[in-house]
Amino acid sequence: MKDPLLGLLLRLARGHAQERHGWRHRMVGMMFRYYPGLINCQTFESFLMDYHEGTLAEPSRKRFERHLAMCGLCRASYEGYVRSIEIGKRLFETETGPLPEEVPSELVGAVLSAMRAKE
Amino acid sequence: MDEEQVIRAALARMAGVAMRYVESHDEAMDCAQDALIRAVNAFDGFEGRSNVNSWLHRIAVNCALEQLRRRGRRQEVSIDDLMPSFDDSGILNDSLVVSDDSAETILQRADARAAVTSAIQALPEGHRAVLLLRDIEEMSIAEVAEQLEITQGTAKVRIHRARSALRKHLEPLIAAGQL
Repeated sequence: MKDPLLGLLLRLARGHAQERHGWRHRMVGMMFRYYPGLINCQTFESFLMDYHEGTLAEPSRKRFERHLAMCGLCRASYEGYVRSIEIGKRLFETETGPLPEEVPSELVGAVLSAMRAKE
Repeated sequence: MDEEQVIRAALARMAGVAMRYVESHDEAMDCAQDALIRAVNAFDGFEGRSNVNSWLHRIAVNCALEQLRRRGRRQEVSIDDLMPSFDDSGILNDSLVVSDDSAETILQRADARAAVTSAIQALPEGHRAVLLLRDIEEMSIAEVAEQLEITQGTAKVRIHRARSALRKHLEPLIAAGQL
């Protein structure tokens, strides 16, 4: 980032996750909200799905990525979002939902009848 | 394996697929029976472009979705508590450190597999269905909306909320140092 003021604010932003109630935290909140081209975590969250789907248009995409680079809280939140999707996908590639303990014989019979009728 | 055993195994597997979508074993078994009879009757039209298991899987999903549509929307439990919250400055309240473990590494553990299955099953039916169709069956948002007879806007909102709820449920698995 070439803007020296933004550079200074970014240095302030570092560590705001650990210090949630001090002046630094308030400054970071104001920076995200009011500095041109930046967004706060709430707006980031509202862009998250479109970004993940690849449908977030400019300039929102650039703002999203800038926030992603700046905010450790949202970076972890985004990584968690992506990881959860991957985990669900990987699991269900190989597994169904819970299997029934027993398949009732009448169901098997109904399928057998359908097969016989077709023969 | 005799014919009856093959049918029994196929029914169990298809009921397992349906069980991802519907809430009860009875409904899932009905879907499985319906799906397998449909498959038997349609087998002449099966052209072998996908493997038989994928074909049966898709029929089971369709039958489960029909079941959901027939039944209509149920009153669902709110998942607002699982959504992220923000302070007065619009800064995220939740603080999570994600572990470096890949999805594969996490899923090597049996307890993790069980936790993920139950986290997905714990989602309200309408949210679970959109999540499964989009992220597991890899349908487009337009297809998800069409299958569930909802607008694309509603489908998008539900997918996002379902993923956010799943993230919250899976926090102990994806967070560094929490296990």
